Parts: sequence; C-alpha cells; structure tokens
Amino acid sequence: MRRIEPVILLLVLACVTAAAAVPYQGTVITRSGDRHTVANLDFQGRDEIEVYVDDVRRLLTFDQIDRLRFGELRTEEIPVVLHLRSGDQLEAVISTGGGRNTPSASTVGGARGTSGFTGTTQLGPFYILLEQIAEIRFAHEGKPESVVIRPATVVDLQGRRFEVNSLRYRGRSSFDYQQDNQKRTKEMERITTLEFEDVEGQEIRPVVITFVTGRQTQGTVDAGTVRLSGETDAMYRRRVVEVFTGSTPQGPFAMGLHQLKLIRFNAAAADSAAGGDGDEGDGEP
Amino acid sequence: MQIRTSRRGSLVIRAGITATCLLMAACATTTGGGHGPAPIPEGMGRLIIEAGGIRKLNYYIVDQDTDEEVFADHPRSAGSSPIGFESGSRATNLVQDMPPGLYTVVVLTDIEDFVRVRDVEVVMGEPRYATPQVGRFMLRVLADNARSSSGAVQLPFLITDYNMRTVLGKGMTSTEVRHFIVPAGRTYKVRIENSPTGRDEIREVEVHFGGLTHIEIDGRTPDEQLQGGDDAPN
Repeated sequence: MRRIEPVILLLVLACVTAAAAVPYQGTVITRSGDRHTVANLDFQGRDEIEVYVDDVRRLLTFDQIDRLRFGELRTEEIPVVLHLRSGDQLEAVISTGGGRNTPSASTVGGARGTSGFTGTTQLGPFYILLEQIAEIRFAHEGKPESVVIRPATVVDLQGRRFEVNSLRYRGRSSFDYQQDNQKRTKEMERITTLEFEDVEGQEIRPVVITFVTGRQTQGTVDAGTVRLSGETDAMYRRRVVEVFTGSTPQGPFAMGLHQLKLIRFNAAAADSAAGGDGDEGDGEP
Repeated sequence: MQIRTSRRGSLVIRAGITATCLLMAACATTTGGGHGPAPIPEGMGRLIIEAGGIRKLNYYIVDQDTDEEVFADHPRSAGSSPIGFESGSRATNLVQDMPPGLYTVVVLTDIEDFVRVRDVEVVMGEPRYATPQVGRFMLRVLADNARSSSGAVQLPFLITDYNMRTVLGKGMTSTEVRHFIVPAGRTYKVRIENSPTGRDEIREVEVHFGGLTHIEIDGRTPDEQLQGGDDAPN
C-alpha cells in the first residue's frame, strides 16, 4: 500500500499541473529525408510561429496550421509555405533567429540561426533547428478554432468611404485599446462598430466600441504621428499609417488611427471570399 | 515582609516558569506564523499563474462562457513610463481564487503582443496552474554624466522584432533595476539612438521563459570606467 501512495500522489500532481496544456504532435521531415514522429511539439517553447506575409508580421498558432514546407535557406530567414487547416495557403518568410551571436553579426547580418522546434519522440527529447527542416505535418484532433474576418465599411475624417475586405488591426484579427491606461484586446468578430471621436491635435483619441451583443464600451487609442527616436521610415509607416490594413476592389488598403472616423463591420456576410490569402483564423499573441 | 522558600520549592517555581515560557513560544510559532498558502475559500477554486519567477504581471481573466472580464490587476507601470522600477517586494498577484469555470488568462506585456492562456479550467477546492510563456530582460545604459551612483541613466529605446521591420514597443531605461516583460521564445532587438556612446546602439535580446537577459551599454569614458567602482568593467 505504501508503494502505491507516491504513485497516486505523482498522478494527482501531474493532473493538477497539466491544466490548460495543449500538446501538439506531428511529423518532422528533415532536409536529408529522415522522418520523426514528435509529440509535445513546440517552437521555442511556444505553440505559435512568427512569420512575415508580404512583409507584414503575423503570428499563427499551431492549431491553425496543417503543414509547413520550408524553402531554401537565405541569410537569417527561410521562405515557408503554410498550408492552413482552413484550406488556405500562405507564402511567408520565417526568421531563423540569431541569438548568442556577436553584436556585429546580429546588427550587420550573417548571424547563425538558433531557432528550432522541440518535442519528444519514442527515443527521447527532440530538438531540430529551423534550417534543418524540410517539412512539418501536424496531426490535429478536432476542429480548428476559426476566426471570421468580416468585410467592413471604413469612413475617414474627410468623409471618404471605403468598402474593405479582410480588415485587420496591425496584422491581427483583434483590436487593441486602452481603458484607464490599461491595455485591452477584443476580437473584431465580436465588434459591430468602432467610432473614433475627433479631437483636434490630440494624440490620444477616444473610441466607442459597440459589440454584437449591443453592449458599448469606451476606450482610447494612441493616434500619435510623432516619429520615435531610432525609428526608420519603414517602421514609422507600419506603426502610424498601416494600422488597419485590408483589401478593396481597387487594391490594397491601409489607414492610420489618426485618419479614422468610423469602422462598421458588415454582419451580413462573413469574409469567406477574402481573396484566398489565408484570412481564416489569424494567430493571436 | 520577606517570603522564604525552600530550595526544593524554588526549583519547582523555576520549572513552572520555564514550562510556561516554552508553552507560549510553541503557541506563538504555530498560530501567528502565517506560513504556507491560505486555504481555498469554500465554493472556489485557485488559479495560480506560473510565470517563471516573475512575481507581478499585468493581466486580466475572461470567463469563456460569458466573454466577460471577471478579474483584472495591473500593478506594473508601462515599459515606457519613466517611473517604473523593480521593487524588492516578494508579494505576488499571480494567485487568484475564482469560482469554478473555464477561463482565458490574458497577460499584458511591455510590447504590443498579448500572451493568452486559453481553456484554464478552475475546479472547486483545487489549485490549477496557467503558464503564460513570458520572459524578461533588463537594459542598463551607463554614462559619464549620470546622477545616480551606479552610473546608469534614463533613456528611451525601441523594442523591435528580430528583423527590425516592426516596432513592437517602447521602453525607458532606469537608474534602478528594471525588467521588461515580453513574450518568451523569441529574439528581439532594442535600439537606442543618440546614446551616450554617440552611436546608434542596436542590441539583440533573446528572451526565454524563466530567464532574465541582461544587456548593458557602457557609454562611459575609460577614466570614468576606472573610477566606476563595482560597476566598472573588469
């Protein structure tokens, strides 16, 4: 009986500490053709990857990905084709990282990649660098958590009106705002309208958020257009001008928080025809 | 009046006093110590956020059934605030007693990215752990004209992604010890323009769960470095 007690104790402890853990498993195929069936798969300790789609940063959780196919290694980055579980396909670039390199290598370039996937196989712990992987096939159970990106009508401060598909906030499907200097984030699929109050010359703009339930809440957003110390032109453009991005029939759409008056999400139709650019199920940080 | 006691009686009195003192000391250690976690209130469960040694986080908890925010606590100042620093307090805000249910824990970091832990099930009378993947780094800038004895100065800096394509957040160095909390498992870059070194400083920051990455930019002249005492490089 005494021998059983520690086992029961360990089992209870394992059950308690394992709460909320979602292990992923899949097959990792190396560039030399070896296949490894890996459980508890994670990327740098996380269940999401950071990729760049058309130079826009995106975070995708494993739950949304069916397959990853890696291309030829470039300096500090690898092109990757993401086959999403929604059926869409994304062509992106993933950084190989450069931790523990010399300052000159990490600043100028030429750093050696250190990012990789870890997990466990039947033989024991498993670790592989990104640059050694040819393909990863995830083995999922159940349906993916889908996030619907709806089309929206955007009105700017000049009264111009835009019908936008695949509207995203900083590349994500959720909208961030502040309440009493505390950050908040809400999925845009739960929002009906975003009404930005026009306060002349103010960097902090009040916003009224109306949810699909009819509930309203107030918050603020930082609509400052001042360039930060150390910010390049491209960084400034992404931070200030390309806050809300999407596509219109005329072409790509981008608008900054300082230009917006109103965003009304169209509840009639989900954005299933968003251009096939993988808009189902965005990753969230 | 003089009370006379026999030698035997004196021994009995001394033994009695000693026994009383021992009893009081024993009572004091068993009732007033306050060691160990408090019991879980009746009808509640306990949510413990395991953040790899970080004792305070800005976070809120959302009930997944109602989508309502049921708890929020924001004890840390923003990364760009000039008044932020780490206190030596051992107090934590990462243990919360909640009614049983399914929750999402949203941890706010010093950059624009949130860290979410979904499907955290709180069960009545039991502790449950949520492990948000957050890490921290510390950036110190030393300069000649520093007012602090350590030589550290306050300077604004940018936190960007590894490729320096996107500004993820702003920070402010401190003359005190200050940690910046960011999602773990990624490599970032910090950039200080107009630094005391006269250069455009760009440093790589690799952040891991449970770790603390130290970065030091020494902008002091060699003479100052020699006089710098403990902070002077060897």
